[in-house]
Amino acid sequence: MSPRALLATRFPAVADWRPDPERGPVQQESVTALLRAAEAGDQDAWGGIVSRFGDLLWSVARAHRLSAADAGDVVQMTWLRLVENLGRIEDPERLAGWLATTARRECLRTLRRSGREQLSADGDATIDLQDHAEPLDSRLLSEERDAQLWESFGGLQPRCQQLLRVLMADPAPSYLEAAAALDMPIGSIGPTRARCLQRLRVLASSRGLSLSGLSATGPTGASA
Amino acid sequence: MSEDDVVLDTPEDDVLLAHLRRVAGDVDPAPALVQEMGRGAFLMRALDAELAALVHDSAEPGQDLVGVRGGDRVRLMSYEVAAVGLELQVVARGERRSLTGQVVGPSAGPVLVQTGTGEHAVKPDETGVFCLEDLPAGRVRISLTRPGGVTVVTPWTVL
Repeated sequence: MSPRALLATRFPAVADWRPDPERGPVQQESVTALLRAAEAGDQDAWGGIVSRFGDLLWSVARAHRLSAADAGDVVQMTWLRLVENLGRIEDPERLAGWLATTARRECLRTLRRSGREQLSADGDATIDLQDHAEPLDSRLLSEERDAQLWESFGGLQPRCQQLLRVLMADPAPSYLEAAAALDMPIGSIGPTRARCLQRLRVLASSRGLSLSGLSATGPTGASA
Repeated sequence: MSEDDVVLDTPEDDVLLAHLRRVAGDVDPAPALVQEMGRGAFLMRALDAELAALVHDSAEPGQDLVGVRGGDRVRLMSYEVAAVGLELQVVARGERRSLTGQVVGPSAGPVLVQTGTGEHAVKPDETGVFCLEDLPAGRVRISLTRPGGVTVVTPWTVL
């Protein structure tokens, strides 16, 4: 059976496959099937992988405060790395973590080239996370509350912004993927997330912004 | 996920993060062009090629800097696979790159240098040395053919 036919038996609408943020964690079987089909040459399956994880890679790059141009280059390098390693991914269930790790390394290379990575006294690489990406234009947001919220987010400490920006990827990454994207212990993701969101509430509140009316579906509508 | 995650992820936090996700989707989505290029990356697959390993790169941390020569930055890289090696010297001047490479071991035919915008075929001399001047800064990969027709390709590397 051709890879395409094999895929179609499992995913009749694979060509129209789009991530569904409401569906929760992606079914691992589908990622495995997409990867195996792409390895066998199925371009639509590859497109499914790009649709599924493209926003994660973008979020990882933006979390490292790369400009839009550099972030685009990092995302593309990450896809090219996956292409050159097709057939060598031994654990398809961890593809998202592999991609997040690869994107992080490409981010670090980019930061190193631009002289923004510094070596700390103990030899660990640290990154200058401040003030390099162009500020995002919150005027794009139709709702005043969202604009204020985004500006409050911009007032968080860099480490908090970094973690939350990765967690904002759509569909939502697992903590394993977030840990891979940021080289953080997985056990610290949850506590850090809680602390950073609490700081965000404090910052928002200091601007007179109430976040109590947020609902799970929200008025901003579904993302594209 | 650990038990801590379950304890710490309050419904309020989940709602706030989901809202932030929607806001990020409005203000900073992955650009359509980036997604489109990602789909196109599949076409760069080098089927049946052996992937060489980057075994040395003077630009990686912990390596001795090759440094600066008359205002140009010099970077040395070594790739290896099976019986073939590729030594690469990259001289950076501003946003332009000059390559001098040497194929170590048996190879046949021209060396193909692919960039993000095009590709160049260069013929190594009898000692395996090839040169390519004035490439744009950015990603590059090099492929060469071993006698018998097996293609060897380097990983993409940003120069």
